[in-house]
Amino acid sequence: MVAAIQIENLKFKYAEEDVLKYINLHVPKGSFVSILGPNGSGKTTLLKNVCHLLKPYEGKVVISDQLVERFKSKELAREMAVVHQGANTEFDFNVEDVVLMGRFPYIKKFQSETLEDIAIATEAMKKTSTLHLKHKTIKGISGGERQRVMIARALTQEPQILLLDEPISHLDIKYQLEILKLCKMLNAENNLTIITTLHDINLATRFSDYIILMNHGEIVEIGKPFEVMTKENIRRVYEVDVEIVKMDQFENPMIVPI
Amino acid sequence: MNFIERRKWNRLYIGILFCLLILVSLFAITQGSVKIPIGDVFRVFVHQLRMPSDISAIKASHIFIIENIRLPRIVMASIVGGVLSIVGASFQAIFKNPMADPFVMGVSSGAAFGATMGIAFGLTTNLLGFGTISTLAFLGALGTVFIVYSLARVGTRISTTSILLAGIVMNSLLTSIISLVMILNQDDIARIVTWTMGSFNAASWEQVAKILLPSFVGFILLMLKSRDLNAIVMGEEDAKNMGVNVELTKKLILIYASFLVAFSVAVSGIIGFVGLIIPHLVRIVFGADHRTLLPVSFLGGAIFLTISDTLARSLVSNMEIPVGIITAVFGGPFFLYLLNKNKKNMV
Repeated sequence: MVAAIQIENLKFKYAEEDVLKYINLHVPKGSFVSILGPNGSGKTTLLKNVCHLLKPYEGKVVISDQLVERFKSKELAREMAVVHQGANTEFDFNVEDVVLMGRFPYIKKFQSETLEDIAIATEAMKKTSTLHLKHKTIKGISGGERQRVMIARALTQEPQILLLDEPISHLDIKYQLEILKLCKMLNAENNLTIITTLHDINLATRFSDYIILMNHGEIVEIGKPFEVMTKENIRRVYEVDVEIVKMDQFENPMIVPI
Repeated sequence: MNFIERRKWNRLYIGILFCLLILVSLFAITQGSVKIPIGDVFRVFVHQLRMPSDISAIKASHIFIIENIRLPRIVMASIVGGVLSIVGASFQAIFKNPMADPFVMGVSSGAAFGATMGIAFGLTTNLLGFGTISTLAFLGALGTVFIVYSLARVGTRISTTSILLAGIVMNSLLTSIISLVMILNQDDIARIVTWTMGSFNAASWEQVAKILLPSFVGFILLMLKSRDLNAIVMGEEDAKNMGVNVELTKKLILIYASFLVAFSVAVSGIIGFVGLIIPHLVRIVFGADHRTLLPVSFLGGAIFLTISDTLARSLVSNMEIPVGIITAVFGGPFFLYLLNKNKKNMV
């Protein structure tokens, strides 16, 4: 299978201790991948190594058959968009302005947004159901709406790969489902490769093609949700006993803590 | 209103503000120790434009005051006010803090320090003239930016509290050294007081010519970075993943800003709070997009400082108040208001 992202022997540390130890990973194009693991297991750090915000001291990250450091910053932004945690700003922009910022890697120095750029941003707002918010300010909308706006901005970059860092952690259940369904829809319709860190193991098993289970900066297991989310693995990683329940309406099993 | 319409409207607003600046300037010309009727001012301008105009009834001294004293002074106040505003707006963007300002951060004092050293060591040669002073002011401003930036930086992050604290300390340190030099060089006291409190009383067409081109170039350079600034204020990590070279942009902005501050301070001294008040008010009305924020702030700063300078020279008869005092009277309470408003984010 063609790889969207390939990681080989990656090691990363902030200070003395390795935060990521010997990571090997292969993400097929067009797949929906969730990274799970307890707090401090290195999920976000791994994601930031993928999008080149952090640089590993050993090993390599390959994005669409090219080493990540070989990309020019605008080139990389056209290949991969990232929705970071807790978008927050002191400065109040209109939703439309924020979404249009996603065109940054396409607009040259002395140019301004064209009608085509505006059309692409409008399309992204339609897909994420944020078009009705376009005249509101980014501080004047709810957390779930803001997260959708951030995804719209990422789509405006027209990427092949979308990374999301804890996209649903501060949202209520309605918005959590909404955001993940949106991601799934983009994954299916646009063949967008999606990699997201998540805390909710049930939503992760339900929506993902593959799960990466991490602990102490290492990958415990990678595979299909039902292969990875076993009683044994969950006990080992989260130190919690669970029951795995198969439900008729979902393909993947549900995990119930005991 | 969609994006395209908004852009059109913003152009219209910029036009309106420009007209407002002209009106304020015309009024400012009539004010001062000698009051000149607005009709006379018009007649002199029309005459200047080589159009038929009867100026025979106007006193020669009034014509001289309009053309060679008040007009250059107003043009200079406008340019300096505009420059200080756009520098404030840029600092606020790269430090993601609405309290940042060239005065608060000590950059204006750094420029004044450089200029003061130039004067104290007699580097104002006729050959180089103001050039030497401006260069030293630039080095002083850049050095201060570098020190404040280094002190406030933790790893790759910049601490807001540290940058304000470092700015305040640099400010009082540099002002103290300027004062010390002031005491040791009694001949130059008048000139150095002008620097520490700000004034346009030495304005002339010659000085306007000195700051016009650098200010224009600096403004264009900042405008070329306005989309980068938009992305950066939304979050540096987000900006990086949108393809913005964040570290380079921040360094360039600091250099451009130091350059602009240096030329302003070299002709007018330390004028505080313009860069704090104006961008903040403009943001409330026009939003945070730097492509609008920068030009509107320039015009807003120009209007504000022209009014402040008019007050400075006409509030008390036969005496001129340093313009920095006027701006501080407006800006000090405004700073406290912002501090109170941002209390939650400061802790």
